[in-house]
Formats: sequence, C-alpha cells, structure tokens
Amino acid sequence: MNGRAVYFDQAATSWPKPPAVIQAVNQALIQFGGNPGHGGHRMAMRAAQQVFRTREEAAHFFGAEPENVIFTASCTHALNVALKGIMEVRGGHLLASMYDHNASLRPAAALALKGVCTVGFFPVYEGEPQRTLSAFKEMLRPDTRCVVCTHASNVTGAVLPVREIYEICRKEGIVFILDAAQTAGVLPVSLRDADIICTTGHKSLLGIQGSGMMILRPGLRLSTLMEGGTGIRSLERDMPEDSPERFEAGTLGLPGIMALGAGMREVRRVGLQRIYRNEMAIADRFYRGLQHIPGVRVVNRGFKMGEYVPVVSFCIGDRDGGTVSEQLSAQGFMLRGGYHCAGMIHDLLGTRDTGTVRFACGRGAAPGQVDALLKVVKKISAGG
Amino acid sequence: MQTLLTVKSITYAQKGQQFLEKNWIHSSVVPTPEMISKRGCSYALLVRGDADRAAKLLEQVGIQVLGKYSYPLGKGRDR
Repeated sequence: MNGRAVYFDQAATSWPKPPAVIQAVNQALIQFGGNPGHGGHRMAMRAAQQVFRTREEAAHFFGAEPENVIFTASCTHALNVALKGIMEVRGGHLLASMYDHNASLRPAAALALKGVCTVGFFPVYEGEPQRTLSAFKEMLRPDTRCVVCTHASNVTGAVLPVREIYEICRKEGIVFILDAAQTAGVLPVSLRDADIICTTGHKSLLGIQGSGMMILRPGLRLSTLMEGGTGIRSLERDMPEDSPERFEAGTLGLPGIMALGAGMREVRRVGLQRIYRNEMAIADRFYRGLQHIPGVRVVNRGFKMGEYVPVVSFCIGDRDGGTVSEQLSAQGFMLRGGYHCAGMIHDLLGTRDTGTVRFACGRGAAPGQVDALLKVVKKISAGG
Repeated sequence: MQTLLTVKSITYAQKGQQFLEKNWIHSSVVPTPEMISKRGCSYALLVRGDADRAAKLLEQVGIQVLGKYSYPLGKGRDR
C-alpha cells in the first residue's frame, strides 16, 4: 500500500485493524486449529472455548445471553436469517425503512416475490424524527408482523429514531429487527433497542471480513435459513430447537470469531463515548470544510452529535460519484463513490442520477488528512 | 465423587461451567460418552462435588439438565 494513501472508507470495512485482532487471527490458525464444537478431542474443545469466549464478550457488549449470540458470515447473512426466520413463521406484512441497506431491502423483496409476506417501506425525513415516526405509524397495518430498520444510514450517517420505533413495535406485538452495521462499536446498541440485532464484525467492531452476528431476544421463534451439521445430535434429521446451534450449521469461522472477540475488547478498552467523540470531530471537520467548496453539495441534512455517525456524503455538481471517487483515489484518498448498496435512499436524497461520494472515518484519522482531502476535493470541483 | 450432567449443547455446557464456577462448583465440559449419548454427539458437564446442587443451579439459569450419571459410568438416569 502506497504510504501516501489515506483510507476514508471505514463504513465499508475498518482498516487498519488493531494488533490484537491480527494476533487473534494468527492464534486461531496456529494454536487453535481444531473444529470448534465438532468433536471431543483436546484441539476441538480448546477451539470451542475460544468461540464461547467471544460469545460471552458479545453477550456483555449487547446485553444478551451467550446462547442468543449467533455467529454469521456477515450482517447481510444475519439479516437474511432474521428476516426469513421471522416472516416464514409469522407471515403477514413486513415494514422496512427507505434508508435501509440492500442487506434488508433485497431479502424483503425476495420474501414478497415468493409470497411469504407483503412488504412496505416507510420514508425517513432526515433531521425530522417526529415526521419520520408519523410516516412510520401511517404505514403500519393490522397484519404488520415485523419491522426492519437501519440504526444509521450508511450513506448519510443519519441515526434513525429506532428507540421510538421499537417502543411502538413492542406495544403492537411486532418483532423489531435492528440493522446495527453502522453503529455497533460507535454508539451503544443493546437488546433494549430491538428484538433482534444484526451486525457486522468487520466495521466498527474491528473484526475481519467474513464475520457478523445476530443477537436474539430470548423466546423468539425463527425458522432456519440453512441446515447442516451442528456438532450435536448427529443422528437426528432436524436442526436443534435451541440457539445458537440452531442457526449455526457447518463449521464456524474461528479466525473471524476470535478476531471479533479481540475487536470488541479493544472497543471496550477505548470506550464508545471516546470513539464516537473522536471520530465525529474528524468527520465534522470534513463536513464543515465541504461547505466552503464551490460546486460541492453536502447530502447530509445536518451533522449534530447524537444525530449522526461519522459518515458524510457529498456530490460535485452533476458528476458521477464513482468517477469522483476514482479521481480521489488517484490522488491517494480512498472514498467510496456510487450508490452504496442502498437501493431506496437516493430517491429521497435526490442523488439518483449521480450517487454520492462517501467520507467515513475511523480509528487513527487525523485532522491533517482531512485538510489534505479537502484541498483535493476543491481541486477536483474546480475541474482539476 | 464425580457426576456427569448432560445438557442440550456445548454452548449450554460452557455457560453452565462458568456459572457453576461462580458458585464454587468445579466442572469440566466433556463430550458425552457414546453409551449415554442417545441422539449422537453431545456435551456434558463433569461435576465434582454436589451434583444435585449443581443441577438446581443450572436450572435456575435456564440450562436444562437432560440426565445425571455417576462417573465413571455406572447406573444413571434420564430426567
């Protein structure tokens, strides 16, 4: 990697990883090579202990019990398990926000296509939580059985009024699934906020790609997305009734799970408040700097602490976001440009024709890097 | 005197071990011996000391004890 290159695509995946995370991967491969939970020999049992260690860490992190922490390959995988698991049991109507990622929008669409349920989408009025809540309530139907909502947009960083949405869902007996991909490791997230939390391991939780989690409130009944070997009750044809094994068919990804455990411990060590404050300060510097560049439109409707995570989206005139991103990359700055796998938000933001360029900072970002990036944005905007 | 307490999964065995340890009961997570593992492959807690108390404690935290067996294996019983 070029020494000059600056990475501002933390919303896609965090980089670089802390040394403890890299060490955990090495340990998994060198010291704990057995198949965890699939076998009774010493290596398998020691590997299983490491898996449980991360389950406990996650349970503590999200206010859950270890047996209700399910390891998945990604947040997308977790959302598929959650959405399909709930709707195949409940049927009826599913409601999603228009700010959601395709990780929930596409499984929802697939469920509707297969006739499992009907799907509706409620608009989000960024910066107007009460208006968003009104729109949400208007879209509820007597047969709404489940709501899925992103905690924060991966395009603008806007935090949605999920606590209030969950409160409404609880009163109505509706299952609430929270996509915490952009907030876990940045803002507090727990089972006080949702019935099911889906998150990724490789963003702000600092784990590696190929890891994610679904955290369940006890007592929920879900059908299985995948069936296979679980390391227990091998003579039975059915998947176990109890989590986590019910939802963890096949060999678990030990390197990813151990890395996730190390990542969560690092986040706890630094502290969520400190992480959020530091990263928002950097993102705010960029947000304010953009306001002074002619030709640049900031897509975020604001940028207050508590209302956003450290993500800022912008456009340069009517230029394609992907093209601008390539120009920035050529100058040593890694930002994502395009539609960010968010299928519906661009209709609300007015960015359907161009997409956006997304700034997303994380650990180790420095003010000087932001200033240098702003200079390059200014140059590109001026036609350079 | 050791007792084998069979449980639903390795995760419950691991959680149980932690909880028993906090209550000063030492145990190990072990694969259930084949002669009592009826459904093929399972895990158990090998408990040293008061197994009845251990079983009650596990039930308190939602860990169902499926069977209790003297160890080394002799006469045991399913619950």
